[in-house]
Amino acid sequence: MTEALELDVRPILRNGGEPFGAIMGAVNSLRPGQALRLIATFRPEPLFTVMAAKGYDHQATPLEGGDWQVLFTPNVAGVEAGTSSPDNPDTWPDPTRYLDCLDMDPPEPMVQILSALQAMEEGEVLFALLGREPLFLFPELQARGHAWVGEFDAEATSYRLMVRAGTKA
Amino acid sequence: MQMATLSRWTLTYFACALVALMLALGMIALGYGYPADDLAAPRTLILVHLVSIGWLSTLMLGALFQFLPVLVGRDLVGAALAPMVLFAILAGLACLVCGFGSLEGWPGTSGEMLPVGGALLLAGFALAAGVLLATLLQGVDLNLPAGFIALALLSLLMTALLGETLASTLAGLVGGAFSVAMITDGLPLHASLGLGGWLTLAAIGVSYRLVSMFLVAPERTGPRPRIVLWLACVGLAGLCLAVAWLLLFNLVWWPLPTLSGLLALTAVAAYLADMVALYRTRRRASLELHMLAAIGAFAMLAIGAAALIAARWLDQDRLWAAALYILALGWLGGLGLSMLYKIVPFLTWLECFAPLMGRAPTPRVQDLVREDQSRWWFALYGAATLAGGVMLLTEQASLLRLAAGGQLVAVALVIHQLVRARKLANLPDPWRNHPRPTLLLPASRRKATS
Repeated sequence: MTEALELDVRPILRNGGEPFGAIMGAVNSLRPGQALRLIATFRPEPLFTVMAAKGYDHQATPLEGGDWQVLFTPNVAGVEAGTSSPDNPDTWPDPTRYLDCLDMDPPEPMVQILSALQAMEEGEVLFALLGREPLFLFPELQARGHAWVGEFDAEATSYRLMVRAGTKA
Repeated sequence: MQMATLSRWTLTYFACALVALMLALGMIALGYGYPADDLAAPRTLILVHLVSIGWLSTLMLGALFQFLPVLVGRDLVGAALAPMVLFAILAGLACLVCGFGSLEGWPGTSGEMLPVGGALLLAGFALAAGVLLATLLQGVDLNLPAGFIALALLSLLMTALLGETLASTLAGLVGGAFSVAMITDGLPLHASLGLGGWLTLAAIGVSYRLVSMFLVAPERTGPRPRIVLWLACVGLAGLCLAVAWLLLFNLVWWPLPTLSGLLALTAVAAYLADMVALYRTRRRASLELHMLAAIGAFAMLAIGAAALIAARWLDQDRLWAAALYILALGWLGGLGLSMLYKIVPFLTWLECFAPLMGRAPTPRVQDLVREDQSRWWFALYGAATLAGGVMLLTEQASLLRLAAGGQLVAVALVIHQLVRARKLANLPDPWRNHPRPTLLLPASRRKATS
């Protein structure tokens, strides 16, 4: 079995940065079957959902000084996709597009998200990280037949949005 | 899932507000009101209400009808009432102005127009506060900006109630010791509740969210914003107690409003520290014009607060006048103008280009305005407002008129830019022939997509 890839995001967190981009970068660089060992200053609850959607199980262990180590291992059975239904986000496949909109000035996040969706096939899922709840985006998503779920992270500093692309107009 | 839509009447509110501002600045430039007249003379009161109701309150309500649903993630309750609110406020203001005019002997006016105007204003503001508070209470949790806005709306109601009592007193409907107490002591309470409680608290609440959004800075968390809110809350309670005292005993127990003033000043200092922190932690390196202009408004709040302390200390009319001028036109007016410069293009962009997003190239919001030109108009407005304050302080009546003239020109040029933004007149070639929105009323969402 390949050795787990280790990523320590504590320096980013201590500098007040958002480690999501770095984590996703590491996840995307994993070889098939490879695990990710993540070290953070807190238990990264919201990440568990995202990683579960990507087919990874997690095992979190506290370290000395309040830090946490989480081992994400690929769950071969979990990635088996059934029929994806717009109404049930649990059935959606893994996101194929990731957008980090944290540093974008409104309305740029909307433009980027809708442009990305335009190029996606029906049923594909986009994951976006935003600085706030994109309330002006939702009417546009609805008008174009996309389905979405979103929530703030535990610290309410960023908003995580998953959009399932609808039928192409 | 909640979503935000365009508030149909917001641009009409903005247009009415800007007309009132132009009117008021034009009158000051012509030498109307203080210092040619007394600080509480009818002619000065006409100007004060044109600015505080016509310009600032109309602007703030128009902005809240659009912004509050975004803030609490709920649709505006009773959105259809917005035109009625505007009509009541404008009709009330017109009556109030005529009522003040009757004290000056304007032909065809009578003193009774004062309480009629006050009642119309009270009805309009109560309706607006009802719509906005009902929307607030629907929100899942009352976040910090929403807390400020709730306090501001309660102050608005108190201000309007006290205003109506004052109007009835001026019209001679109530007499005796109560009327004397009302006119001497009720007036400063009415002004503090209006300028401090309603307009400043609403501006603080809105700016906590908008400034962090426009600068792409993390929202302020931790104890300081909460301290600002609690200080405001206790300060406001002190003012309300002072009003109750006045109504019961025909006098003001001055320690109460003095304590409120001290709390308010501490709150303002903590708020300004939060704004500085937002600018420092911003992720956008370069500042757009509206956020540069907002710095001027924040500076005016600090200057105006200092002038207010001096005015309370020395109790001189010229100090009161300068402090109120800087706070109303520099802080609230300056912040309002700078936010309009972003909000009008943003709403126009949403209205025209939202359906195109992702399907075709869209212009940037900044392309709707010309920052290179407008920065001079904002600089002129800021400099002229500050000069106006200094001229009031030094009692240079003719130079004050010149300064107000400068403000008038600057506002006219900013309005010109906003009209060009609405007409899509600044857009580069690919969008030059894009269908234009109506100038004042946005098309409804349904119409825009059909």
